[in-house]
Amino acid sequence: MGRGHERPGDRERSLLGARTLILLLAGLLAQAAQEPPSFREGVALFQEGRLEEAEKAFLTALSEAPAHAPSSVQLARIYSRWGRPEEARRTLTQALELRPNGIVLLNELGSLWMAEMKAAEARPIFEHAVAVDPRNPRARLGLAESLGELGDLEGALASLDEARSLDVRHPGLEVYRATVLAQLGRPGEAVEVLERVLESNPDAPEAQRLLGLLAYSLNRDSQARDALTKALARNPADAEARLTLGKIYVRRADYENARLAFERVLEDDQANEQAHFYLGEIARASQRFDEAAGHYQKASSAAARKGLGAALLRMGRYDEAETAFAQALAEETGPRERAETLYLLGSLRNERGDEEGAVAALMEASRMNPHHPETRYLLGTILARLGRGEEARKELDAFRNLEAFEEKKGKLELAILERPSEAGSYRPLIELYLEHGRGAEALAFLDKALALAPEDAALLLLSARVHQGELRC
Amino acid sequence: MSALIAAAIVLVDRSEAAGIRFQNLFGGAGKRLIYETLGSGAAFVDYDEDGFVDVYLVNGAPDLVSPGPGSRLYRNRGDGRFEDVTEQSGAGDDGFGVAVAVADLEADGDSDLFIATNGSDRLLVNQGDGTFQKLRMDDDLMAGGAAFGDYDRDGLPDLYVSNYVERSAFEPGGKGLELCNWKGLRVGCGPAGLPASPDRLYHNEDGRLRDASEETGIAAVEPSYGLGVVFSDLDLDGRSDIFVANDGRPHYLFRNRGDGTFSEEGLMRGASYSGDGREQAGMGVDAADIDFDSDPDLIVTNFSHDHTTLYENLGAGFFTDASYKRGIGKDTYIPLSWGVRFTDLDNDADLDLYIAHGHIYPEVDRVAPETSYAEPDQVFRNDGTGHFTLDPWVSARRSSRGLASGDYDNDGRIDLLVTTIDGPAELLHNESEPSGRGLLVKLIGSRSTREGLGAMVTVETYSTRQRREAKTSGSHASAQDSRLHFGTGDETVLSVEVRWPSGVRDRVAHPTGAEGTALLAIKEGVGLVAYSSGAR
Repeated sequence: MGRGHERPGDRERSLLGARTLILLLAGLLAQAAQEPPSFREGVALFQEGRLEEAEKAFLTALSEAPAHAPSSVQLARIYSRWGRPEEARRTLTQALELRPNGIVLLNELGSLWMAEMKAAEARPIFEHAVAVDPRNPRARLGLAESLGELGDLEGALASLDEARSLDVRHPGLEVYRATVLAQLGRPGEAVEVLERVLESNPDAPEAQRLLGLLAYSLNRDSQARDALTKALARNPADAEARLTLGKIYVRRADYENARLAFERVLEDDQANEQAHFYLGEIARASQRFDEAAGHYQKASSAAARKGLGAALLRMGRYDEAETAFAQALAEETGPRERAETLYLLGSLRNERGDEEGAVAALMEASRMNPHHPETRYLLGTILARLGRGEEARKELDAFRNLEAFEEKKGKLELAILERPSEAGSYRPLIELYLEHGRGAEALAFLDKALALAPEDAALLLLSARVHQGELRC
Repeated sequence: MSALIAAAIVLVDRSEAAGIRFQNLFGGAGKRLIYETLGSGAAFVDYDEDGFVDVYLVNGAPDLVSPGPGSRLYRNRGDGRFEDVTEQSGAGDDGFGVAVAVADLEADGDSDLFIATNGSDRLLVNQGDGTFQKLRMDDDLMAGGAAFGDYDRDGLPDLYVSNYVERSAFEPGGKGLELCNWKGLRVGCGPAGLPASPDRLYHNEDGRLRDASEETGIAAVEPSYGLGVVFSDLDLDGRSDIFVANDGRPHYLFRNRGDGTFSEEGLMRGASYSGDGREQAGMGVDAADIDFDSDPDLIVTNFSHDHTTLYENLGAGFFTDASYKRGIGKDTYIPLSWGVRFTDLDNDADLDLYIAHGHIYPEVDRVAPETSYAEPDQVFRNDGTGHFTLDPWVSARRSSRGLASGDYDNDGRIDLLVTTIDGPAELLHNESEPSGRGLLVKLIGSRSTREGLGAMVTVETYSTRQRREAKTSGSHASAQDSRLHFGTGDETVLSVEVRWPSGVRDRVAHPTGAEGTALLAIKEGVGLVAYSSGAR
């Protein structure tokens, strides 16, 4: 869910920005009587982007009314925009000396700290703001975010719960609640929260965006696609949303729309490696190996190296493919990923007629991941060709078993898709994994089933078997 | 292979001019039942032994119970025109025909035909006077393919019939009547999930075919969705093996053990799955030596969005998927492929490749714009090393199915006969120019089958040594000209050697003159018995 240089919560804050502006304006109206004459001039200049003149206007306003909080806030924003955060904070701190419980000042100062990724500094400021006004949504959000940033997700959630108990309602708070729930590994609840937000605020872009990302992680492709499409309509430059949308299309084998999505990402960011990687995958799946290789070469991940090797292998450019596989292997640490690359290396050597080399790579791949049918098949057929009949039979028997397993698994996964909310639909699949000694791979399904039916005795027994198996491993 | 030849491949549909006006009917137009998608085959067969191959076109029917428009026999008049002799020959049949196989069943000197249908199969026994006696072989199996070959080398051709799904799947309540989802389309289900029919191997006993599936071990395998069949000596032990392309299931490679039985060894020999261990939707099949290492390689056509698979024979009948390495993987990935033939279309002394394409879902254009129900066939040219390149020639767009190869005008250039589902047949006349010389070798077996099925024929020129196996099987639902064709480029043939299944060897030195195309007849144990220069 990360977004590169953006921090979680930035968008929620920007969502609140609009509301803050409204609050600010309301405050300004309330203070209109004491509003220094230069303030309005400053606001106008600020809006026109004439910041230096605006600064002078706000300084004048503060000289006219030193306790005028909105002038301090606007001045701090100018300094912040100029990259002078210390000056911005000093402006607010000085204002707080005159109005220690100024809620707008506190929220602004807390937000400044948050913008500098200094949640530890922000937290007491927001605590102070909440103490001043327990129903202030911006203060509540700031506190929750600072707690979340400090790793205290439970604390953040408790703070949000408290706000909810005080009937503090704001879409930004709910969106952040969803973010926290997702980070706590409760994406289903997060989605529910967002769905509620969108019922009352159908146009909340950040809620749509987050819903899209979460629904994608839950394999709810249709929901994710709809939400992300709406979010992108509001912010077409949102690379993560568009990448995720592209990945949804890839998952549904809708390569044309996927290609369009990734190419759109490249329009804004020509070097986006994820977009290049997926465009490589699409081109390779469409048998456009030259084009695939071009995209893979613009991505640096091990997966991209592997994809590059696979594309080059299809083109018969064996030396280059072997180099790409070696580069992938140098970076890959996970046994499954390494096993897959070794399998490809084995295929390459087989094509080149280096049967012994192929066997070596495939045996290593098989050792790392004995459940990869392609490896067992290729290894078995090469061994048979080499006259190593007994070993070949063993491999090919394993291949057949894996094939039977995959076929059954496919059917049972389909059954789950048809009845995703019934815990019972998960049971046969978990049992299948256990039958094949692969209980650990069933954990994700077990968790989902138990979330649906925590007291289900049969599931609990299966859980015990799965975990026993895990311990034995 | 030859340095001289750089012919542009030109294949022109001459069916209209030749008088072949045929219209296929194969089930309902919506193709909502999987068996309605297979289409019918065709044969090049010289039924009247006049030296010119005739054309037999199998026809289907509107459904499993109604009579169809009938299969047709067209006699080659030798002048580029054919006449419909269906009625007078008695070769017509209104059953739901799928596949045709050709061989001289009784070794009486003329070719008989076997028609595999969705119901009782038919045997058309050639009476030698231009007529056929029709025999019914009662079964209720739904056929996918048929092939003749002499597995026990007794000189009589045996018959393998591949069968597809069980008829019961299409009875009320049957799963075959249900609709399934394919790329968002509602299409007929199957074959996956439908009951499969067992294949049959019939032993020829003095012209009578007896089901020998049990005793030969053919029945020992799990019934599958059989389509293309080819007899070929894959491990070069002198005995015909049988390869069956199964649709969506592992292919079967029945290795002939030499004692009248077979063992299914496709998995162990690397020819049951794609190189990455996937089951593919096998349709058509052919076997021939594409890379001059003497052993036959295999090719199996598949469904759309999956490549045609070339299984390279690495020796002793062990295979590896070399589809991409050999240059056909990428360009065959999108179309749905059926009939397939390795044949030398430009007479440059290496085997090129023709693949007939056509999707099975009439609505496919709506959901997969890269493909279509009617799609052009492809030609791949061999560069002389067994590496193929897609040729610019393309056929008309049609939903092709069956494919037979033969030289109907004896000009030494291989012509093709392509069937389309619910459409006409195309007689593609090979008009490639300039073309190298072509050699047609007709075998006349005495101890071996009359066509010499399984005989290995080697043709040597100064720079090439080509080896082919005599057979009429291969492709999808179709039967081939039994004469062996060799392109020899611009070179003179030094020798033709025949190794008959009986063990007899015949060698003919310098059989051709300098005039180019030639037709030879070689009789088992006798050698050259007839020679003529070709039409060109």
